[in-house]
Amino acid sequence: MPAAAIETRGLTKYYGQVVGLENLSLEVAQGEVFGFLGANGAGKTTTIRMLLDLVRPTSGSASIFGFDCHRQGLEARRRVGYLPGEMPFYPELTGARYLQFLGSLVESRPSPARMEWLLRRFDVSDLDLKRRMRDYSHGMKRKLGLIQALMMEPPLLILDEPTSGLDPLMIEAFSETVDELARSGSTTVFLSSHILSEVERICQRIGLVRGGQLVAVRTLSELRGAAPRRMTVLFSAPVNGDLPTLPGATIVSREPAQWVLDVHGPVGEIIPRLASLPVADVQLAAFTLDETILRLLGHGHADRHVPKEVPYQPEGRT
Amino acid sequence: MTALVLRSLGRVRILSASLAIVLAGLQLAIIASASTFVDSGNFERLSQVLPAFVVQTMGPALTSFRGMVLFAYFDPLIVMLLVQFAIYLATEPAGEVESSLVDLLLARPLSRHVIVSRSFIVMAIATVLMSGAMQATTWAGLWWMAPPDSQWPALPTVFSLGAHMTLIAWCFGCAALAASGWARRRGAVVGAIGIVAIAAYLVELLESIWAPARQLAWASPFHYYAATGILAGTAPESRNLAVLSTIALAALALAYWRHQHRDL
Repeated sequence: MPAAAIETRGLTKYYGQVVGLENLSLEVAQGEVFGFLGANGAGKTTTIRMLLDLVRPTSGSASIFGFDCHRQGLEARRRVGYLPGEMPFYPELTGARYLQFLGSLVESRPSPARMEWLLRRFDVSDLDLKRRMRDYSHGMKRKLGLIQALMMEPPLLILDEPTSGLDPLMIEAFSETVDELARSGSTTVFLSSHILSEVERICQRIGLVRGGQLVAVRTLSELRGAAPRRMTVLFSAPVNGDLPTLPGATIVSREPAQWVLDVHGPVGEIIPRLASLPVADVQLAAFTLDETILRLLGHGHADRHVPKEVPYQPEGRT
Repeated sequence: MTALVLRSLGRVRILSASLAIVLAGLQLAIIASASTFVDSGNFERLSQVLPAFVVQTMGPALTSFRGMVLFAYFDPLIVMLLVQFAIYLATEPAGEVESSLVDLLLARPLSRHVIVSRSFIVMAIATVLMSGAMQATTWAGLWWMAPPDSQWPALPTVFSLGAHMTLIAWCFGCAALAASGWARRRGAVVGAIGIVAIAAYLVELLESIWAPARQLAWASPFHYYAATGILAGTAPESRNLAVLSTIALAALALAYWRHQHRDL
C-alpha cells in the first residue's frame, strides 16, 4: 500500500499560550484533491508551514510520501510545489528572471514545454514576463506564484489560498488545471481556503478546521448527506398546546400559525404525526453545502489558549 | 547555493559599488593630502605642534607620510562604515523572514544552513571587496601621487590593517547573522547590533582614561585592532587576528545553531 501523500499524527503547535494547531491527525491519499477549510487564523497556514518544516511542531509528527517533514525534510520538500498565502517577490526582478531564479534552486530544470503551457494557461505574456515585479498587480503576482508552484510538476501541490486575488477567468483556469491533475492521478493537491465555493468546485474531500482543531473530515457527498433539511409547517388555524413527538426533528421556531423544524433523516415518519393538526402547507428546503459547513465551523467558540496541564515549549522540538 | 549568492550580491551591487567608490575616493584624497604635507614640510612642524599624548596615541599615523596614507584604515568613521555595511548584509535572513521570502526558498529542497552560509559568503565577499578596493587604491594612489622621496608603507602593514579591519567587520556581521536567528524584523537587528558595535568602539576608546571601560575592553573586538601598534611594528598581529577570527567563527557557529532550531 503506497504511503499517504500527507500524514499527520497528533500534530500540535502552541505559540506561547495561544493554540496554533492542536492534535491534528489527518491522512491525504495520493492523487486526492483535499481542501482544508477554516476561517482566518483557524490553523490552516500553521499546518502548511509545519508540513514544509518552516515551523516546528510542539508535539506530534507529519510526513509527506512517508518522509518525515522534519528529519527527512529535504526528501519531503523535493516532492512539493508550494504557493504561499502572501506571494513574496523580489521587486527588482522581472517575472522571467524570478521564475528562472526559483527554477535554479532545485536539481532539475522545468521543461520549456511545461513552462510554455503554464504561461498560456494563466495568460502570462512575454511582455508581462519582461516587466519588473514591483509593477505587477496582486493578481499577476498570484499567477506567477501558481506557475512557480506547478512548473516542476511536483507529485504534491500545497496551495495556501490559491485563488485569492485572481479574476474569475483565472479562477476557472486554476480549477481546470486542478481537475486535469486530479484526473491524471499523478498529483495530490492540498489546498487551504476560506472560500467555500472554491473548495466545493475542486475538492474531493474536505477537512474543516476551527480554532486550531480539526472539526470534521468528510467527502462532499457525506457532507451533503449529513445536512439537515428545513421543514416549515404552515397551519390553517392557530395551533397551541403540546408538540407531538417528531422523530429526527429539532424545533427552530414555534408560532401558532407556523413551525420551523430541522429534520435529520426521513420525512416520512413525521408526516403522519402532523395529520391530526390543521396543516395548510409543508415546505421543505435542503441546506446548501455552505450552510452545512458554516454550521460545522460556526458552532461555538474554540478556546485558543494552551491547556494549563500542557507545558509550554517555546521553540518546539529539534 | 550559487544562485542564492548571486541573487543576494545582485541585490546589493549598487550599494556595494557606491561604497567602494566612496572608500577609494577617500583613500585618494588622503594620499593627495599626505603628498602635499610632504612637499611643504608640514610633517616636521605637525610633530612639533601636536600635544605629546596625541603623538604618543597616534604614533606615526599623523606625523609621517607612510602613516597618514593609511589613516583611513583605522579612522573610526571608515571602520564603522564597513562594520555597519557588514551588519546590514548579514541580516538578510531576518529580512527574508520579514518579507516571507524564506517561505518560498525553504519550501524547496534547501537546508536551512544554506541560508546562513549564503549570507556569510555574501558578507565576506562584499567586505573583502571593500577592503580590497581600499588597498588597491592605496597602491594606485601612491604610484600616482606620492612624492619621489617619500617613504611608502610596507606591503605587509597595509595587508595587516586591511585584514584587521575586515575581520572586525566579520565579527559584527556574524553577530548580526546570529541575532537574525531570533528576529522577525531586519531593522531591529541592524539597529541593535549597530548600537552594540558603537558601544564596543567607545569602550575600547575609553579604555585608557576610564577604569570601568578598562575592565570591559577585552570583550570589544576593537581591542584586538591595534592600528598604531601595527604601524609601529609593535602589535601582536597574529594573536589579534586569531582572536578576531575566533570571535567571528563563534558567532557564525551560533548563527548556524540558531537558524537550525528556530521557527520561521
